[in-house]
Amino acid sequence: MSTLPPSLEEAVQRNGRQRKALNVVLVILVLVAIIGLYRLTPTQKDIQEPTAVKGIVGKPVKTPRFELTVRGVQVSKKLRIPRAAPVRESRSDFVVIDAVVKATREPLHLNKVTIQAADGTRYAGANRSGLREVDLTGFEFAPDIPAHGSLVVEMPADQLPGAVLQVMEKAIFNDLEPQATIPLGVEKDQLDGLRKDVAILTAADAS
Amino acid sequence: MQEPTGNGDREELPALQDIKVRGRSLKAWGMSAAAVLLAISAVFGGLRKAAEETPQVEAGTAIDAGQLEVTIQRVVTVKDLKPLFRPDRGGALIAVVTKLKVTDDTGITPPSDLIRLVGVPGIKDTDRPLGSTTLADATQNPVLTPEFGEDVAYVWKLPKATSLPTEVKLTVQHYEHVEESLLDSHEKWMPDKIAAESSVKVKDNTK
Repeated sequence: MSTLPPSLEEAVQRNGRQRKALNVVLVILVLVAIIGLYRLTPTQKDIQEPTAVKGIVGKPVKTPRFELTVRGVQVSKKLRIPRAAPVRESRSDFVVIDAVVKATREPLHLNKVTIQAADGTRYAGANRSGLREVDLTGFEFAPDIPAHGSLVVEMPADQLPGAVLQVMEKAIFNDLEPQATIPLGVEKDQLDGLRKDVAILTAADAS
Repeated sequence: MQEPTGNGDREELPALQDIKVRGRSLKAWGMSAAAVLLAISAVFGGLRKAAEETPQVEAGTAIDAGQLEVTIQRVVTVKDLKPLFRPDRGGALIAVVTKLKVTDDTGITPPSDLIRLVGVPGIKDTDRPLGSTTLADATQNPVLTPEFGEDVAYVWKLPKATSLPTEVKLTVQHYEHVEESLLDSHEKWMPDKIAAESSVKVKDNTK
């Protein structure tokens, strides 16, 4: 039986070690690729959640179909609705958001208004009797004509710090639809300053 | 002398309890078969606790309906609830007054299938109410704020021909939170069972 010369045997052993190292590197690469692809793959939630269009108070948030500018916030236990009596009282608080809305392409309504608190609780826009006739959710926005008015949500005022206003055109079947998302920027020590005896609602009107 | 004919020389059959199959008695085979059947049924949930009887709850007791806490307060018949609800000519309305508290973290309007009247003449057991309204300011299908109770009345029509009931039986629906599935990440509460039944005296406010 013939034996390999020492130099050739060494070369074979070195080649084997290199091949093993390459295998280990390739396995690691494949694992990294699998985990990376898994993380990059959109989940069902990613393709069903509305698409957030972020903004700040005082500046217009430009979604493809409407622009929303939040001008201010007031808080009260009582709400006076124009052309409706009596003064409405809340078991929590009325959060009244002064805003300007402009449709950009065609006439539309804003059908979904929510405030999401820092703890994840979602408070839906109020629908007290007489409110829809005068607030911005009942108003039809004409293209390029800004309308000034109010959005009202009933929620405890102490949930306002860290809360985010979310406004959408569609209330249902709104997967991936743009959602104006504006942190209200209310700090705990500002709550007393925002509180009114009776919140006055501005009837929606083209300005 | 002739031998007697008949079965006299036939071997006598063993008693049933003495019969053995493959060395085991029939009783042992029977018990083994029963054990196997029980084990198979257990795999498919055969040993699960049987459904409990629907609890009977008196008016004024809080009922856990999953998404909401429901307290039946009273049942009244009225001539009408203008401007929201009007009966047919000569008929009346029957209203179940509840206190509803959303225990979930998302504000909703009262589900229309929450309350059903059972065995009331002129109303089918499956009939949905005309709608719901707050007692405070007659808001139809009001938005409920999580963790804040609201007095809400569910209203049905009573036809002219029927005499007004003096006591009604009603059921309160329970809702189950459906976890996100691979194909759907929308949060859902689905009706699953009857949370409670209640018999309530009817106050006649038609006169």
